[in-house]
Amino acid sequence: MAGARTGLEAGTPAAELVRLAHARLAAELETLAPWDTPLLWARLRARAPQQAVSLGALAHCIRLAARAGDQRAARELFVRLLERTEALNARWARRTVARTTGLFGAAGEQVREDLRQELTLRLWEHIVVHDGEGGEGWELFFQRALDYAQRHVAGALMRQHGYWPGTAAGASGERARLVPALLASLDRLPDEDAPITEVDALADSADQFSAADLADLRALVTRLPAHERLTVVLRYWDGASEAEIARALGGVTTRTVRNYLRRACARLRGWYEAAEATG
Amino acid sequence: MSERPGMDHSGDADEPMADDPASNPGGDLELLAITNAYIAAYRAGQRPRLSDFAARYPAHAVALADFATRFLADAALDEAEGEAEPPAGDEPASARPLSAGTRRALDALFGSMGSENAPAYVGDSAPARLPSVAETPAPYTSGGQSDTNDERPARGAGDAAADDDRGTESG
Repeated sequence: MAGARTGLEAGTPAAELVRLAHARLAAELETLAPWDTPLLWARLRARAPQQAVSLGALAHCIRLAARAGDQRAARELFVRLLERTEALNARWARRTVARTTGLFGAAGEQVREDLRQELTLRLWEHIVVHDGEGGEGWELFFQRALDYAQRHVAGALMRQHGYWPGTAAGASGERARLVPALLASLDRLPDEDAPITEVDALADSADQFSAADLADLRALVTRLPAHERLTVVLRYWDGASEAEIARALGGVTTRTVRNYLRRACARLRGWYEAAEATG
Repeated sequence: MSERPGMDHSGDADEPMADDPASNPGGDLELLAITNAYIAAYRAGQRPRLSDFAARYPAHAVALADFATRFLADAALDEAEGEAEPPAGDEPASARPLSAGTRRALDALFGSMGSENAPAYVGDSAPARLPSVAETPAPYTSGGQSDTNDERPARGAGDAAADDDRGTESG
């Protein structure tokens, strides 16, 4: 069933994950009382987690109501959904504003509320208006779909407001410390002609950075082309060896991995130096 | 408002890239499933390797890596701030009052919400009318795994017939 609706290739590991999600949601829906009964609505309106349905099941009901033209029910359920995601969205708005503007507390309230407003409009659009174009993802993996929607709203709105990610107060100091450290680490990559044993030893002893250290570097690293970006992320975020990266890239050689890292290093250095030069 | 920084972040991951699922958040079921599995494993304390996921799901490796860098940054912040991680899956969460920005959006979508604590657009005195199964095909079945009981019946042909008897009152 999943393959027919989504174009998934049946039997692949990813398709199996989707199939399991379908089964999980189906099992939950089968425990619900019939439509338009007070029992069902008591559960849909429940505020406490113990009595409530999952967010995916709630999204399912919203879409069913909207598809049947019952806008009144769809609206109420949408409000219930927002109430249930309030904590998640508040956390996201607080983090986004702090990270991109350096504004905390009352100083960032207006921007945070703008984010919340934009996210709500987008959720209605995606879950209800554009039914059939990704709506199923909201039912099967609500929180992940919400993650991506938040990311999209944050990027679009903060840029519209004139903010750029990774520019929070104090971030530039961290960047000044960490970018050179990353570049120095990349510079220590062995020569292409080095003996393979030496290559592995050097590669596996390269500097490691914590996720917190790397958070600010994201802004630069995510500008890299896809293969270089993946290589750098696997190397520094994941701590993968060159052999592991080579396998993750589909069986390329470790020499190819080093080439990706070198090119990434050159780009990062160029961007960093250009930024430093312009202050 | 802060000054525009000197460093150009125009390609940052917060901006959708060409193949970025953010432009249609629910659209790529496989990627959603994979990121969900990654986060579930992380929250279970398994500290999954991105390289393993990339090797297992090569078509989604770059998108997963992009997602993971932000996720790991948030997880590090959670740890530093002593904040509880949000649930990994879609399990129920407590309802909270809506923020001002959310209410503004709802007003724009549906008109004024009325009093400050108005919970919904449907009166709570009578249950709203959800569409019957006959009106909207149910997309999910569990393939014979039903464990429903008589008191809380599953949706099915009987429900559709009952709905037909009651008539419709959507709107």
